[in-house]
This record gives sequence, structure tokens and C-alpha cells, in this order.
Amino acid sequence: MTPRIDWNDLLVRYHSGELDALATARVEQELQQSAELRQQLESIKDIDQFLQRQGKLTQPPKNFIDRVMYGISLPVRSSALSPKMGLILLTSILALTVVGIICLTNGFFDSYSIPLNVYVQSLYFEKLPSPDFNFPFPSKWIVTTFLISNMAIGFVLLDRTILKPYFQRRAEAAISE
Amino acid sequence: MLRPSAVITKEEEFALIDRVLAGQTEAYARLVDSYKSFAFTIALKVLENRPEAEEAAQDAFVRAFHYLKKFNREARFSTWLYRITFNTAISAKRKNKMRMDSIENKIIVHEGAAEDALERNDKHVYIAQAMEKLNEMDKLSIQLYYLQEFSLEEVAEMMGQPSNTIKVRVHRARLRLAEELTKILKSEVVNL
Repeated sequence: MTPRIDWNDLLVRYHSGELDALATARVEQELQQSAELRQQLESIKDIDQFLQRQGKLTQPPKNFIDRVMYGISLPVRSSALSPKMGLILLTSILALTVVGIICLTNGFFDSYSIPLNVYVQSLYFEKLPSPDFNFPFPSKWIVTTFLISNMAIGFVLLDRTILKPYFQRRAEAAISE
Repeated sequence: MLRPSAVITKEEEFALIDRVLAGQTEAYARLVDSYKSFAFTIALKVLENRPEAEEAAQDAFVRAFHYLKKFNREARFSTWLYRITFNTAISAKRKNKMRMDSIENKIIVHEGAAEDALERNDKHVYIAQAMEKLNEMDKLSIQLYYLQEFSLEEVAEMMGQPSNTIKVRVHRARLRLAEELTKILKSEVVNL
């Protein structure tokens, strides 16, 4: 079985002058015999013409040079916090979080409540029997919330002061390579 | 139209770069003037949106200025600049994909292209339609190859790909366009 000829491919190569003399002669012979192939070649020529027209340069606005010159006069944008400062803050946050987690796991905040009765009793009810004014202060939950917010702030710091500037520098370097 | 390489020689280019590096920032304006149309057109081909292309081309010139010290003079400044422009535009395109596309600007570009083509030849409208069906990189390869007839090597350098890959892309794009056009024309004949 003879392989099917991809005439589109052959015609594109023919039009670009990529075929050898033998193949060129064969294509020209086929072109003389087939109106369909001639039409296909016309389309290829039209595409070439279209692309050449599309290949014209487009002019930027008149103030383009001024805008570029203004752009280069501006200081290079940098992060508000330096990576060094970010690292220091991040270490402090991490240390605080670790201490908080240790205290929490050891039950340090489990029994805490505000002893309102002591204050009230000493001022006004010295001779009365001690009322049970213990206000159950949810210190465990407050510390947990504080630790979660700390970790969130730590993540933002890591992103803004270390990761983002690092990847930005890498991207800038890749673009200018 | 003369290509910038004919307007400004390699020696002139390097002399201007030396002046810029010596602190004469205003010498950079001459480089911008020589290559602004090419840089802008490359960005426009990638972004298909005029305001975004303006921004990307400007950004590319500003980046090139800041990285001028790193420019090794083995290649032409223009080649290096076009690569920065191409990368900046591709990067902007990726960022813009995260946002909603500006429908208004897209319509302006397409309407303009369609009207332009209609004035010249109805067939060109179909070719423009077929272009939209091409793979993005194949489309850019063929557009840049035809942009004032850049060589395959120049397009390859700009796109950061081997010249053989670009050769395949350009050939594939031509082939696909021819196939699409044949299909469209056949369906038009059937509809008539």
C-alpha cells in the first residue's frame, strides 16, 4: 500500500522553496493537472501575504520614550521590611508560639479564672460570708486564638519579607537572562 | 522600513551602553527610540491588547536599563531587549489570566483586525479566524517570524527555544492555517 501524500505539507514546503528539484518537478506536474491543488496553493500564498501584512510594526504612543525615561528615574521597588528584619520578627513569633504551645500542652492555662470574689470581699463585704464570684475566664481559648493569629502573622511575614522578594528576584533574573 | 539594526550599528549600540553605564542616563533615550516599535509590536503580538502591550514594553525597557550591567556583549542589545520584552509580556499575560480579560479591549483589537482584512480581502478574515485556532506558541512563533522577517535564529533567541523547535512550530502553524482555511472555504462553498 502506497503512503498517502500530505499535499498540504508538500505545498507549504514547495511555496517556501524547501523541496529538492525532483520533488519540486513532481509538485509542479501535479499542480498542472489538479485545480484543487492549485486552489490549495493559492490559499497558502494568501496566508503568506496575510502574515506579511500582519508583520508590520505598530508604533507605540508618542510619549513612550518619556514614560520609559520617567520609569527608569523611579527608585526600584522594594519590600517595606527587609528580609533580615522579617527573619528576626519571624523568629520571635515562632519562639512565642512554641512557648505558648508548651504552656498549653502542660495545662498551664487550664484552671485559670478571674477571682472576682477576693476583690469584692475585701472592699465591701468584709464581714459577710464569702460569695462565690469566681468568673470563669476562658484563658485557654484566648491563648489558643492568640497562637493561631500569631501563626497567621508569621505566615504573612514569611511570604511578604522572604518568599515573595526571593521569587521576584529569581523571576527578574530569569527575564533578563 | 529599515530595521533598527540598519539604523543603529552594533558599535553605536555599545557606545551608547557605555555612556549609560557611565551615568549618562539620557543616552538610553536613543536606544529606546531605536527599538521602541519592535519592542511594542512584540508585546502587542503576545498580549493582543494595546494598553497592556504599552505597559509591558515600557516595563521591559526599564528592566533592561536596570540589568544593563549584566548584559554580556556577545549578542546584540536588540536581541537581548526583545527577549526581555517577550518574557515580560508572557509574564504579564500569565498575570492577566488570573484577572478577568478586558472584553472591551479585546473587541477593539478583533474588530480592527476584521475590518482591516475585509477591506483587503475576504479570505483574510478566514485566515484571521484560523489564526485563533492555533496553539499559542505556534501562533507567536509564526507572527514573530513574519515580523519584519526576523530569522528563525532571532525568533528562537527571543523565545528562548532552539531554532529547530521554532522551525517546526512555524511549519506546523503554516500547515494548520492552510488546513483550517481549506476547511473554512469548503464549508463556505457548501453553505452557498
